[in-house]
Amino acid sequence: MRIKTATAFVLGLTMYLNGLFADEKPTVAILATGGTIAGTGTSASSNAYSAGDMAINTLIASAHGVENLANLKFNQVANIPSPDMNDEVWLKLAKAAQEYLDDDSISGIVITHGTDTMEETAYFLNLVLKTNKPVIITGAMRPATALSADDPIDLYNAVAAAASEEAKGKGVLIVMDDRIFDARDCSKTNTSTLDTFQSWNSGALGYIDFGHIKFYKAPLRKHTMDTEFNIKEIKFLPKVDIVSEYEGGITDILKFVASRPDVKGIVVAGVGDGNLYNGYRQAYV
Amino acid sequence: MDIDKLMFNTSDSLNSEKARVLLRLILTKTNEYDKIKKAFDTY
Repeated sequence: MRIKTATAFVLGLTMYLNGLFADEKPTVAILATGGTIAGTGTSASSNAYSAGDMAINTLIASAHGVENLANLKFNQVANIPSPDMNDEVWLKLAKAAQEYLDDDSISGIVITHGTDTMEETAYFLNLVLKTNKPVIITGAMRPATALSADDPIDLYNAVAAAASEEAKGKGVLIVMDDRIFDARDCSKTNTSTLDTFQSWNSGALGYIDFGHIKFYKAPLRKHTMDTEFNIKEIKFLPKVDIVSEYEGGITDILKFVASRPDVKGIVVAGVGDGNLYNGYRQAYV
Repeated sequence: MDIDKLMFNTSDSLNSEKARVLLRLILTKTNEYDKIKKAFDTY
């Protein structure tokens, strides 16, 4: 009898609290940049489409029920396919994101993005934004007009994560295909499958099932509040190129890139654990 | 840059695209090898 009374009391209290705070939904800002998630196709069974056709308000209409999770604000920062991502949009996006994050009325933000360069944008923002609020990047592998399009559930889950307590203080997160990943370790691993985003070396941080969030771990590498980088201080990013190593060596290409005065650094995508062709191996620390 | 004087540092488990992101950011702060190396051990 005592247990029943306690349960009834708790239920009553919950209903009372729900009623009391009914109008106090969190507010989430959605910053759209384009990509497949905003794409429209020529037919439902084709993957031929034009990325970035749809504006964010059209896009959000497909994520039924998302309005119950949060009050939403929209900002169409850009509308480009993500292979066209560039420094200009990066800086504009990061500065806009920081403004929303500095606003006390905003609980968290969602950034919609094409999948091709999503991991680069995620890691960039992870290092330059100053916030403990959730910053969620999401996208889609299929255009909205395709069979079993993934944009409605990805958007729904991303908004749920951005509105949540659980996603705070974990840096920039990628939410795709019911999984939650940290920005540093997550990569696109397949050209077409819905589960393309993976963190091969460390696994997902958690899962999200129709907005229900389960975290199992948090990133340990420094991010957001704990980095020495701040988007408010960044006006320009030095030019750095990537050179891929392969059989036979890359000496000529490396010489050419190194000789360019505008190149301030080079990333060599070496073989194996970063090995370079004979002669440059010794320089490796 | 003189190719014979390039100094290499490992990107740890970052892929080349993300290593590029971090190198660009740390180059806004410093050109010192030890500090660049530390950034790759930290972030």
